Amino acid sequence: MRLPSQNRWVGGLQSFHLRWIGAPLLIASAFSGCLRTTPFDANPERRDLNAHNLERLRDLPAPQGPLRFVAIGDTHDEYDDLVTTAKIINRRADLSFVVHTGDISDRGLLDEFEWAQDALDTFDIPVFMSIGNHDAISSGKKIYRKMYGPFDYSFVYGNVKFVFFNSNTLEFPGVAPDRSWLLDQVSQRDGAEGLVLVTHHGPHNADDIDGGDHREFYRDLLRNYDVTLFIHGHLADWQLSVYEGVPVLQTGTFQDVRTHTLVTIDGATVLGYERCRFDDCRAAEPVGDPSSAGADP
Amino acid sequence: MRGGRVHALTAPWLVACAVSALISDRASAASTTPAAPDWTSSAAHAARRDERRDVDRFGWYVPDFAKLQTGGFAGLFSVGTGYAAFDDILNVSLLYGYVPEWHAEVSVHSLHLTAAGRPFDFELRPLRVVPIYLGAGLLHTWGEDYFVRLPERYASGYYPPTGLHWTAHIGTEIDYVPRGGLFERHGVYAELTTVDTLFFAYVENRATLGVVDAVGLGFGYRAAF
Repeated sequence: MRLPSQNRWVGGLQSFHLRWIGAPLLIASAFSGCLRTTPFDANPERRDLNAHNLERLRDLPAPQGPLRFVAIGDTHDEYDDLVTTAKIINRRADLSFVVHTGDISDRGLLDEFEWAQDALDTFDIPVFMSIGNHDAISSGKKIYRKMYGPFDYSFVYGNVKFVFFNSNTLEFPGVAPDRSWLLDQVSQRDGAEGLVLVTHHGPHNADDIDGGDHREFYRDLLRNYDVTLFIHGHLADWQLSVYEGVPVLQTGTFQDVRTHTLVTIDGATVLGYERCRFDDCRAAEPVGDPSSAGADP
Repeated sequence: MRGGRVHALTAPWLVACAVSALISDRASAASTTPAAPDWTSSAAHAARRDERRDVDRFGWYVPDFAKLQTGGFAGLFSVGTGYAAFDDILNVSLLYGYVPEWHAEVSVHSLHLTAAGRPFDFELRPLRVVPIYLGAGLLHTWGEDYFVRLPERYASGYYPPTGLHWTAHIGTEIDYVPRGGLFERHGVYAELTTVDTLFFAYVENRATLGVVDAVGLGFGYRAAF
């Protein structure tokens, strides 16, 4: 025998279940695709993009004459203007690929990576990534590794060897840069005359742990190996300088300066640079020693 | 840097909300709580419920509701509790959320502290409808990839905390109001939540992102007692 109050409670609960749990659950299932469980997930849709783009590049005919490519970096969360830049670059037929010096995210969240890649997918030519420090925070290391592949890789195209390496010492203490791998890469040209290094940090101002000697390592590397061009990002200002006799292109933070650079290279000789803000391109020459001004990690 | 400023602005406001909620509950308990709690379906209690949406029967320190939720950036499965103040107009909640590795390719544990204003409601007995409520909160996660205090190897301000994100949400709730028993209301709610980084990315990229990119849908059950 139930007390009246219990009858009301049980009856009310049944009624509640039928009407107000069942119906919302049906609606919820219909909208389940919109459910977002966490911003901290690490399951990107696209995988191994650097390897995929390398296959695309190898399917293209080798350049006849000098090679021309685009250098860009630190796009962070600026997608609208990156797409605008891609449309401008897509109008040209003389560019082979894009090198990105890293920081396609700001907080290392999966959505940032996906949105940045959506924008990078609008380039008609392949885009090759180097990991930035902002890409290596939160779950960024795991996401980046899945989306783009190994942090260090190289390829030869148009008589030039391109070496992409992880220089984010603070995010990979004791691991980056992988000096032995890097020295192997610069020692063996794989038949190429030119050698271009692409990374996030500059050789003269790379972040380091207290007492670290990465800057000395980079200095000695540029002194002792015949590097054609060093391309890096990380800092806000666009800069083209000479360090230890090697041209150093600091791509500038695209999110701030909306700048990309066109590089024309023929083997071990850089024939020219064009600094572009959207479609406004102007020739540039390496000038003086690199400056650390404009530091903005 | 942007996120750090947001946290700095939001945290004091959340603390103020939480304190005001507790003070309000304490005052409410002092003035309205009977000496001996009686949560059976007495006529007096039913009448009391007709007067107030939140009858604080167990003391100000006892939480006023419990929640189960999925989505809304709080986890695939989340559970929590909270306090109602100003007769349920202000809610302060704390949800623990979990996302298993099979879902996100990493295991995610998080805490979501929120404050929500619920000034509007109407009754369609035995239902009570909160057509819209607004809130903000802090989402905290932890683990080897996340920090709240910047590691010493970084210069001050190098990164905002990766384990803290500001959130905002808008929601709607339908409650069933039983005439008696332990629970004051059984509610189901739907919320749209945004996270600082996603929100600002949407604001700055209106040509490539839509508002649906910046918000996450969540559903939940809220038992008020």
